Amino acid sequence: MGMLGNVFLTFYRVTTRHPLYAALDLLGLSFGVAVFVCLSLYIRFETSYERWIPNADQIYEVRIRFTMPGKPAAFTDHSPTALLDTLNEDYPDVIGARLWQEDADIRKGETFTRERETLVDPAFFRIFELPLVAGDKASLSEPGRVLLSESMARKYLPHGQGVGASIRLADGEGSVSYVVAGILADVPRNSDFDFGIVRLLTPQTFAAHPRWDELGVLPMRTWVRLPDKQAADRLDASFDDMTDRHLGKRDNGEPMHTLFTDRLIPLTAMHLNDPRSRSALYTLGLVALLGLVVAAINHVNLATALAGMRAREVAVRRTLGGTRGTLAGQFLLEAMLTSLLAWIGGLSLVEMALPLLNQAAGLSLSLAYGADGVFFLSMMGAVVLLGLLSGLYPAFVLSRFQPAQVLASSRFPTGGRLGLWVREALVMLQFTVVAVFFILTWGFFAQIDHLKTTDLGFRRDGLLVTKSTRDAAMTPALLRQVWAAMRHTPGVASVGSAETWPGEEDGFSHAVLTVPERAGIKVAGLRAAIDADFFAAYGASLLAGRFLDPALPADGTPSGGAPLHVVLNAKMAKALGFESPEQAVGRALDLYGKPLEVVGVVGDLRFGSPKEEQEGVYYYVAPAAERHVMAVRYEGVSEAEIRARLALAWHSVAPDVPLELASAQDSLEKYYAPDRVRSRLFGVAAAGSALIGCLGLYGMAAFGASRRMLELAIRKVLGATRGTVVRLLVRRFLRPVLLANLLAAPIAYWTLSQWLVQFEDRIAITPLPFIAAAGAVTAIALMTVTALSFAAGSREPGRILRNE
Amino acid sequence: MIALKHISRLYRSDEIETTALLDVNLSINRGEFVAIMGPSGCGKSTLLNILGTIDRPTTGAYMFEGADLATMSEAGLAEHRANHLGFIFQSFNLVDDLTIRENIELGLLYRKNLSGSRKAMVEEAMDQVGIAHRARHYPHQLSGGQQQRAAIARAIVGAPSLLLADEPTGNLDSENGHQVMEILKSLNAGGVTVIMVTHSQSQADQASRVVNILDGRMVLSVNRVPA
Repeated sequence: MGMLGNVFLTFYRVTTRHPLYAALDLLGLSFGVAVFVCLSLYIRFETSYERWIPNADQIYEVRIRFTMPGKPAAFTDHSPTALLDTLNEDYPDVIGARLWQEDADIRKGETFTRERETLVDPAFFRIFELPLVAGDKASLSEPGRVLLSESMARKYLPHGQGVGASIRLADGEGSVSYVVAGILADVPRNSDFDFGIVRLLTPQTFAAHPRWDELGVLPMRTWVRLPDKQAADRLDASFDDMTDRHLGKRDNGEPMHTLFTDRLIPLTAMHLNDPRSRSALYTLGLVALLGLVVAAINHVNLATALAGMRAREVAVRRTLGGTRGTLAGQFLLEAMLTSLLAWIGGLSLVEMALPLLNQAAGLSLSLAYGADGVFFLSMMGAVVLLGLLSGLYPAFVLSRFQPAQVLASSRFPTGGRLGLWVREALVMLQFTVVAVFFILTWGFFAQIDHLKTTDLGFRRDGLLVTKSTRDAAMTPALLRQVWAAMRHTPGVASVGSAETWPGEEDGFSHAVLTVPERAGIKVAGLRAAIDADFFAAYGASLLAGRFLDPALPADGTPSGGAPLHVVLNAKMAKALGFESPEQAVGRALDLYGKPLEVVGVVGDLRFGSPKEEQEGVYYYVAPAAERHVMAVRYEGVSEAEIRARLALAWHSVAPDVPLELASAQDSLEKYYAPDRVRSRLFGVAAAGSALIGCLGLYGMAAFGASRRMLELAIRKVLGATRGTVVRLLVRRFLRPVLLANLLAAPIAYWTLSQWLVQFEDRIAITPLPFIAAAGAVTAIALMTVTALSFAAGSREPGRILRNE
Repeated sequence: MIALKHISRLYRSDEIETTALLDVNLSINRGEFVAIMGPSGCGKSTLLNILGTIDRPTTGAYMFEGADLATMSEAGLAEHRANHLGFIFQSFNLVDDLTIRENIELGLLYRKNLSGSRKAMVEEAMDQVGIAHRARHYPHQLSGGQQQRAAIARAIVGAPSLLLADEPTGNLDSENGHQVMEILKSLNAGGVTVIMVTHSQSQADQASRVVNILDGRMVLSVNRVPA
């Protein structure tokens, strides 16, 4: 057995001889690794979106960047139909293709169900080389062909049928039967795409949508494939010229690209295109590392404390010819072995915890060692590196012992006052992290809860919305029948309709308003096509004037150049310069030369993301064809009951259109879900760190008690009670925890306020979470130390003194 | 073999300066059995630690077979200890977490060039002190005498030319103490130089030379013919 063998042997023996400390050390590190791996898996998942698509790095979307007066530049996620023609004309070498999605109804037995269908240009498959499991994409170009995903095929094709089977889709082109040309592999979870049903954009598609050619209509997503980043940068840089070449100058003489132009967005950056999502991920990455650091501190503390017990071993080894270097190497190797064991322990914990975590946070993370070798090796590298770093200080302390002094004395060296100070500082650091995590978790959840219950300007409960009224089969006449049927359903209080619904930001069109007496001031905002019952259905609050009245023609279709009556939201009234809602009522406005008159002002109805600034909106009564979304307010019945009644009423007038109802609360859920997922992960990390910190504290307290056994025994002989001994021990270990609470407060306050800035409607930071976190952290630490101190304080002094 | 010239050792703490050794001159020849005597705190152990290079003199020169150890690097001294020295302590200083065999093996671990197989050398050392039957036990399972014999085996396993013993029988009863002295004498007879710190006049009488230390000074060095 050589030097290395001896190191392993000693490591094994020390571990088994001090099982408590070894277990605390290993368990703490394993929890740290588990927190680290779970969060890393989530970050990995979030950053891996669309990487499943072959050559994802070469694919870019062309998006429109528009700069409305007085607003920062914004991007649309859709583009005009003609954009591809312009690209093909100006850049004949660039492969480009469009993608368009619409709803398609599929009959299965007696019922219709609605699916999403994706229509693409033939060149799309030269950009997205989607993996096929059967059939081929080439035959898709024959008329009447369709590609289905595996799960779509399972859902709609008779058992055992695949390529060559037929399927009937009812969409904007009518009800048409298609032949399945191929089966696509299902899109993985880390994708925002839906390739369930894919067919080609045909002349029939364009014929069914004559408005697509109109200016400002953006139905398409346009994709290009470029050989490398340089080519992408070149293309991106030439877009402003292309815009000016084709569209000339603005009314005010400035080049058109200052109003809108095109920009490339890489496919792989699309999912995290929002900088807020990215910084949320960075934060979680930091949290993952901190979890590991908190665990590493345990190792530093326990290993340094144990160093005293191993002083004799160190001294003997040095006497026998070991150098400081070989000894430091031995302890570093031990740290590395510990971290390797913790890596295995941590992965086992992750295996056990992942199903629970996935369920709790609504995720689908998994450990795929084989498929993700490099990722696992780099995580393991990080863990081992941190293990090595955490071994540095104990190795330094241990190798510094002077053999002559250690061997001559029967007492163990403690590492000196410096060692004690360092350990206390490290414990303080741990509990600072724990307390900060506590406060932030509290703050995150408080804000999310606040958003779920805050006044959005409309009543979320008792409100169902449906987009099924947008179905291609819905003629204005049928639409009116549907509305009537809904209104007469028992339990329904009111039925409103509009262009959009809560949860869809871009439902309304953009418009620029001016106040005639101050013609220079242009205010960009949204125009919202509604019917007169819209406000009643949503339960909007009237601030001044009146709602729109269906009985008054001027509220809908004014005759002979009379102004169209509109209702403003508070934001728009303020943006237009009216000092109060009352002031706005009766005022004239101008919309591109068309006269408007304000008859009322309502509180802001927040349909968009809580992280987006509320837009100014003006509401007007529009023809039925422009109001595709129906909102139903019900009273005095349960949601399940009203859903059943509405389905029945709907079926009686529109049996060929499937009805899908969503509660307003559910359609807003997507705004809160990502923050909730991240907050839950954060909470997991907080709980994990608290646990790790307590394991470490317990170890330190146990060690302290055992080291001071003799002192405690003498104190008790001299008349100290168990109580005084417990107090003595607890005070020592509580000091760093109390200091940690003080340190954590400003850090948590700053971090929380930075996070809250992104919400327009945010909670006030109260002292409550700070006090609660300090109380919780102190209580946990107190319980840990007290339990142990009682055990130490209860020992019989006689036994200890005799043994000594 | 050994020449100490004007060796002094001072200890400084915050306020006081203690002189442990003052101007010690000592030569020791190969094959000698030297006993160092003196009252508690006189500097015997300091002298032994300096001889064993686990303490450095404040001033003075330490020549070991022509090499100046007083100016040698830490790593050089570590190698010197591994190759030439064996240590025996009053409190045995066996490593609790290692078995007797592993403790003895530790004596070879830091040596670069071994003359034979490690295993054979350990067996031989164990046989020499009669501890082979306890090879797989841990130190706390052994009596004091057995522990000290194990410690001697660890000291001699690498065939050192100089054996340093700091009150090797101080923690043992007279029967075990006698055994240990017999082992040391036979090792000395086999050619190993032995330097031993002791309180016992009867043990000192078995050495070939007695060095007396008082208040850090060497007061008397007597050559004897062992009985």
